[in-house]
Amino acid sequence: MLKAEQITVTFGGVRAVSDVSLAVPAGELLGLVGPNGSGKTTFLNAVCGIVPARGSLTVADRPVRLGRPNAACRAGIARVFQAPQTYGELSCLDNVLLSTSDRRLLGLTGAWPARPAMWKRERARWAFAMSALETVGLESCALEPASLLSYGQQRLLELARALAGSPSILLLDEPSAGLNDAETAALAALLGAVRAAGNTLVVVDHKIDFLDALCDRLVVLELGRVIASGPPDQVWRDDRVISAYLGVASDAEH
Amino acid sequence: MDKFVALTASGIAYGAVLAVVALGFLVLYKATGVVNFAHGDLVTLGAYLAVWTTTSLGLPTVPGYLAAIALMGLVGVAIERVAYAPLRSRPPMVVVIATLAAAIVIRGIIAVWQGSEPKTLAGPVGNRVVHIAGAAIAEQRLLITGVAAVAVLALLFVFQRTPYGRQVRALAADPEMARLTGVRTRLVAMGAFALSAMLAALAGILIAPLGAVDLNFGFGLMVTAFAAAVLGGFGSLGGVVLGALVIGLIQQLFGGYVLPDYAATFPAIVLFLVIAVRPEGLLNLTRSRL
Amino acid sequence: MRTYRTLLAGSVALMAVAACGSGGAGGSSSHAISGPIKLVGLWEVKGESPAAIDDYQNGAALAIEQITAAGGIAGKPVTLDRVPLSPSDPQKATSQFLQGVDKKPTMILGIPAATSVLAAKTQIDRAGIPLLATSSTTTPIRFGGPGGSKWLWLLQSYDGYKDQAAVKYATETLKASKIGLTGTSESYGTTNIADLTTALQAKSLKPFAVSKYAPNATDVTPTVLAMKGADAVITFAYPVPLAVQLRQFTQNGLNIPTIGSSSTNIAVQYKMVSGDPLKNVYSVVSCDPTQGSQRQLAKDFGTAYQQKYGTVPTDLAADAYDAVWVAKAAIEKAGSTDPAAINKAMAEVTVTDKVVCSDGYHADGAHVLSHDVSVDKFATAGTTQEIQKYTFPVQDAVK
Repeated sequence: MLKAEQITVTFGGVRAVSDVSLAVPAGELLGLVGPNGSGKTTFLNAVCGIVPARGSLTVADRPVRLGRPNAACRAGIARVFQAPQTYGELSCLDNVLLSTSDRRLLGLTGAWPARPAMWKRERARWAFAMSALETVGLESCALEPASLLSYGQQRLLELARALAGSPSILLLDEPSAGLNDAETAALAALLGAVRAAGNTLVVVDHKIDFLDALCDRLVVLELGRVIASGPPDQVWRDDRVISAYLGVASDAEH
Repeated sequence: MDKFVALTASGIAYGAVLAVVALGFLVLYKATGVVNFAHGDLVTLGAYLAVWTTTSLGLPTVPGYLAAIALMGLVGVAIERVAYAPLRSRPPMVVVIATLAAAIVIRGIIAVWQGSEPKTLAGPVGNRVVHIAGAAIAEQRLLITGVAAVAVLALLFVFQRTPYGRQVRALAADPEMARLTGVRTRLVAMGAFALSAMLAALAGILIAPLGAVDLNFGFGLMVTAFAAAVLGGFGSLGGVVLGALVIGLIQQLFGGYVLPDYAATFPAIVLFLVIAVRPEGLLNLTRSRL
Repeated sequence: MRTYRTLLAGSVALMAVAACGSGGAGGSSSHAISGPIKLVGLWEVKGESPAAIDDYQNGAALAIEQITAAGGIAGKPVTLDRVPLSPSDPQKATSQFLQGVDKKPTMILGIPAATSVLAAKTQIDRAGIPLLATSSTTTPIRFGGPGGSKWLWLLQSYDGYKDQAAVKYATETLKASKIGLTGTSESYGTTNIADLTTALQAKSLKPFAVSKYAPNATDVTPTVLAMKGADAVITFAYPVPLAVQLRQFTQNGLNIPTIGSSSTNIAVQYKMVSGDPLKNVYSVVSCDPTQGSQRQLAKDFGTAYQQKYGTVPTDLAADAYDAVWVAKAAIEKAGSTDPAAINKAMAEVTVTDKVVCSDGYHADGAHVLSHDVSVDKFATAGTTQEIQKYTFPVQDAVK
């Protein structure tokens, strides 16, 4: 589904992400791990066009222009941020509706001359958005302003918004951060269900157990480079991964 | 008593026109972040287009007005394409300066097209008056208030209840995020320019029959409307409407009772005081942006 | 800088020649009129600036045509050159005036705004070519004032006389004693309201009420209400708010006689106000060149202008027309193309032939040529009738 080749992001003289190549087949749930500063979030930013990057990116075999949030969005890349980015002044339903994949009659013509047609589409969009809210369990707050939600709920709202766009691939950045064990378990169940519904996901997280239980495959980054890739139990046995996580110098071999 | 009624009525009518101008200004600011100093000249252009459709084209008054407003929608889109789209990624200051240039260009085009002589625009109700509590009130002023009220309500509806309004509210809150969630910024910007220009034309057409149209017609109106927008917190639609009414009433009542010679300077003084003392606006009662 | 030096040298040379001339035998023989006579008009035609109008050029061209048909000036052919000078851009007036000087004219006519005259004052002094200004005659540009010059002559009657004429008509003919004053809240309105107040005081009267409004006002309700109870209202305002005021008087059922300035004629001409609101409206003007004028010469001019250009002439067209005739009279009196001789003739000549806006132009000590002010009365159809003419006393040079 997603194929990234030699993605490189440079800040000043520092290569935050260096020649990272990654392929995520449709329906996979890929975990992206690595120590702090290994470039996980920057890689996600590059993929969804927020930071300028070099390399090539395709989604469903179609090339995506790097550095353009609009282009990434159109290609079906959806993103859930670590700090929830919701519109506090809009209702939860409105937040979800923003990312609708039905793009017809959203402009001024829909607002006035073509209203009946717009309402017809709008009702379909509402139904779809409500089902996304139901998926994450927020259907009861649909008409409340998003600012009234708790931190964890706001993250769920953002997930619902991402899902409502029927994305080709969903990028999640530290979805479990700040959640207690019970909440983390619920989130794992939710993501499992989302994946079972046929979505393709890339999840960045620090909680190893959470990812191990969820992912088919892990990719480990260190200092902006891929150092290991494979099923969780295999990856955790990799010497380079162990040394990266334990902080042992890799020249111990000598 | 009749003096109070007369002054209040004219204050409300003036405030209503200011509200339409200020909302046009604000819609564009919310959707694109552009403070458009060409807005006053769009008011002028709208009034001249209405003069053109009703005299040169010979359309009846109301269809002529509607044609002028529709044309202004196209003008708005053209300005977006020519003056705004190429500058989209430039710093806001560059865009603001570009709007000043656009203002001069619009004024120059009007001067070449229509000449410098003032024009008059026929109103649909002529010079008739109604008497309320002993005060004579021109029907045109009642018409202004009514039409402006309908326009404001329609605008509130568009912003609160349509997908277009939803996207503008999202863009106003966080443009970067809006792009990531799939808000169609280009479409929204084009629509906002069209809507803003149409509101400018509506304001020009409402007030032109009371005086005459010349090249500077809209500029003064824009400055006063700007004061109203700042008074209303430069945010919520409701706040701006209230701000406009307050400015209109202050100018007429204070001007009628207290310091008549300085009535014209009140909006500027209010603008200055608000910026100095309460930059968030006097009437910014709610946190709601739109 | 180079132009400036050339010019300075040129004007010094001219003065020297002039000095020789007047020191010689009688002055006229050494500069007897020989070649064609060139006049330069400093005004615009449509399209040269947003505020440009054709009226000046049309009026002057009509005069040149008539003079040529009658054999020219002192039997010599006469040409009219033109340099565009914008009334709304005094900063450019100096260089535009110098362009006119570069054409080496016998006399310069025009400059539509008094502020532009004021701006060009230094160059007017240096050029040493008589300039007959068609701008309004404001206080500072009279001879002896800060903007006056020995080479500068003012065609229109003094602005202050219009205020006096308005007060005179209100008190003497309309028999009003409660006179309200209104106007725009910028220099035009405020200076005239101050002069009107002085003129009222000279008649032991105080204004009934004073009310000002912004030049772009579209609602003057406070002013209208303040004038309730007045016998007459005198208004010096821009045309747009003036039209609003007249309409709002009618809407409020007030029928107070209102005396306006020439702005009234402009407002009526551009149809900003018509019908009932004109029922009791007058204006004080330096000139009414329409068929409503009391002067046969004005009617003749109006007919000829209408024939040539298809529109009713404005007072501005009449001013430019008169300026050409005054220039002709001065050059013929000087019997010479020598600037000094013509300037001297400007002080002495009295012009009654053909001119529209005065019974007789004759310069006073302040270099003002006209002393006539007319009062027009409007009909609801928008036509005017000149119902009163005042001739004010000559003034001395300002001290």
